[in-house]
Parts: sequence; C-alpha cells; structure tokens
Amino acid sequence: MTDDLPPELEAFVTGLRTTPSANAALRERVLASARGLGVPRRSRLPVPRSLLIGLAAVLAVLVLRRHPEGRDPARPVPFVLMAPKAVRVSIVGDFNDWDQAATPLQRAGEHTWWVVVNLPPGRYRYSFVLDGTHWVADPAAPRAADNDFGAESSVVTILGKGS
Amino acid sequence: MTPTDGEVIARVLAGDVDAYGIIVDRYHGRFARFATRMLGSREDAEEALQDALIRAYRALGAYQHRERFAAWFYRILVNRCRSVLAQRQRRRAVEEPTADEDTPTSDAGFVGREQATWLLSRLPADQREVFLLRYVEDLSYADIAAITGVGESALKMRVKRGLEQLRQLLRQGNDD
Repeated sequence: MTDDLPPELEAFVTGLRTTPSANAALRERVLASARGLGVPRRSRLPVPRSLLIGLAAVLAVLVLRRHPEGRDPARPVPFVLMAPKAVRVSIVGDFNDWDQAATPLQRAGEHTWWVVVNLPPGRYRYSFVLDGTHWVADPAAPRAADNDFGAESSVVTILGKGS
Repeated sequence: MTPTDGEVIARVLAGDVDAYGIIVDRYHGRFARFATRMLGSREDAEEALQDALIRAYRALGAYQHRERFAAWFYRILVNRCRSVLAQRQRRRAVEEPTADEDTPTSDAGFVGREQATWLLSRLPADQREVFLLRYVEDLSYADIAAITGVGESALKMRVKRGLEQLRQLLRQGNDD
C-alpha cells in the first residue's frame, strides 16, 4: 500500500483494487481489429537533422498551396512554439497517441521550435511537452474544452475536401 | 521464459499480429480496473479500453521505448477516459450522483467495493484520476505527471483535496 495513504482510507482503497476478470470477447475484438489493420508500420529510419529541417521547410511551403483534387487528403500542418528555455520539445496529441517520443520539434533559431505533421481531415487535440514533463497548450490555437484536467491542450481542425 | 514487452512488440512488428494478445492479457486487469473506476461504468470502460488498445496497436511501429509500454498506454487510456467523460458532459446524458442520493452503507462501514465505488464517484474527475493513479495503480508522482501532463505540485494539491473530501464522506457515512 502506498505509504502516504492515510490509514483510515486503506480499506477504501483495498475495495478499489480488485481487478476485473479476463475479458475474452474484448481480447478477440482487439485481435480481430489488429488482424484487419495488418502489421503496424515501423518508425521512420533515422535521418540527419539538417535533412529533417529542410523537409519541414518544404512541407511548410506546401501547406500554403491548395491541395490537389483526388489526392490523399492528408496535409502538412506546421506547429510552432516559442520556448527559449526548453532543452527539448515534442508534440503529443490524438494523431500520435500522446507519445512524447513520436514527434519531436526542431529548434529553429534561439527561441523557436517547430515541426510539420501530416494530418488527414479531422479534429485533433494536442499539447506541447517541454523537457518531457511540462505540458503547455499552443498559444496560437483554440483551447480544447473537452480535455481540461489541468493539462492545457489545444485543438486543430483540418477541413476535408469541399469543407 | 516470459517475453518482455519489447520482445512481444518486436514479434508483432515482425508479422506475428496475434502476439499482441500477450500484451492484452498481461495488462488487461490493471487497465480495465483503472477505466472502470474512472468511468464508473463497466460498459464505458470496456469500450474505452478496447479503443485505446487498438490505438496503441496502430502506433506500435512508431513507439520507441518498447519496454515502457504500460506507462505509454496509460497516457492513451487516460485520454480516452477523459474523452468519454467530456462526451458525457456535452450530452448531459450521464446521471451523476446527486446530493440527496442514498449513501450505500453496511454494518462493516465503508469497506466494500460498492461503497468504495460510490465514494469515488463523488470526487471531481480530475481528483479521481490522480487518486486512482497514485493509490490504486501505485504510480509515482513523476510517472503520473508524465501520464497526465499535470505538474507534480498540482497533482499533490489534487490528492490533498481528494483525500480530505474522502475523509469527510467517510465520516458522514460512519455517522449515519
């Protein structure tokens, strides 16, 4: 039992610690979905940082252009944050399953961090993570009203064709 | 020998999709417990857990710290639970316990799971979340901060408020 738990609450916590029994139906539904999805794509190969920055710049330019008809609707979305004191910055959100390691930002100059993420049309909640622990919302985007437990997050909406 | 999470994930990425079942079996109990306690509904918890497991599967290839699967998965599950609670709020379809709702009691006091679940439902969702991660899931404040995105000092304040509220509820229940 956690040592800072008041003694009068120990029985209460014990009542909450029972674990649900195995759920064969849920297991099978998850595996059926996994089979349908196929083998997950592996992470990208490591590439030099300079190449990443160049690629991000190209994608940022592309975002200003109209997306061609009939192509993959995913489009590059740039995210920028001013965080001069941060040593590292990443972005977590619905699009990368809140994985801090998945989408690091690149430093551009002394104060600015940025990354470009390819997003299909949809609504995404996200936050920036500074130095692995400090979550901050994007000051340049609307706040997400449905994800506020004290961890500020923002929302970005990517419109589809004809939207 | 029991394979580690990293070894299981490597098997999945090598094409053995069904090996993901090992991960599901390994963690179902604790994750289902957290979701059930957080949402107060077995059906909602099952749906949130299933959705989180599928999201995690899809992201397995991009996830690099494979021996830390549980910590990573908690983040996904916590966010799924938050989404469910937010949807409930928006739809106003949930029937939250009301102030005059009968307090479940027993001769033995507040020791049963039913009473514990009722007490937990009285906590605000943000306090309930950190209370569960700290005292039921036995996670450190550093781990909870990484999972929830809330600073450690704010987490400790929530725990303090939650504990105080639970004490009050316990006293009320035992006085009845």
